[in-house]
Amino acid sequence: MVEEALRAVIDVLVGLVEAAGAGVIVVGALWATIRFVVDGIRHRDAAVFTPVRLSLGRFLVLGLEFQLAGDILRTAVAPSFEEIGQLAAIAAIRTALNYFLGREIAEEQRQVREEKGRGPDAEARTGEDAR
Amino acid sequence: MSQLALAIAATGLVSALAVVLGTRFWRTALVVLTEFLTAAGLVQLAEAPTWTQLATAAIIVVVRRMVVTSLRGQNHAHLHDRSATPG
Repeated sequence: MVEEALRAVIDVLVGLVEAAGAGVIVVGALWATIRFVVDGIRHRDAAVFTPVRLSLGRFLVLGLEFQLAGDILRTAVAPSFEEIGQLAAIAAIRTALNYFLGREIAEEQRQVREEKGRGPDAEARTGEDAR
Repeated sequence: MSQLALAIAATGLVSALAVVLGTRFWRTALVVLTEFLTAAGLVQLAEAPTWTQLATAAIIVVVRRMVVTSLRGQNHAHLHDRSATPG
């Protein structure tokens, strides 16, 4: 009786947390699409896309954090080994992606800082390299 | 959720197209497309996923990582060539 009530509460919480994670990712994707289209038409320069990509990466990382929280909540009631295996696989994928995204964001932030320090010539050169 | 993932993949195509048409930087467009495909894969994992969906998401993450690493390597090589070339 108590276990069923607990299961129902956790199911609702998992649904809410995972919906929040998906919502964050969807909002980030829509925002980034608008920025890519507007900046692509206005500026015609690859350097302007780096901050947009960084922001999209941050949205993805935030969404992943929510989804990982949902996975952790779900392990509170995992009845079969198959479900535990799937949860482990999802958590592994999300943790790996979170790690790589975090590293890429840090790396690109460093590049943006370096380019700002070097001035407009370096930014133009980076734009040519992206071709 | 799968329709939402499809919509995100479609917006990724639009964004990549905007990058290519606006700047002619196809490498940047490829990275942008893989970012959106990753987002679509993650949204699809939000509901109870199947093993196939899990494998697809893992493959997208690996491909995205390979593309980003490859492009970064090419950019470093270009910068190295430029700094080695006199003038």
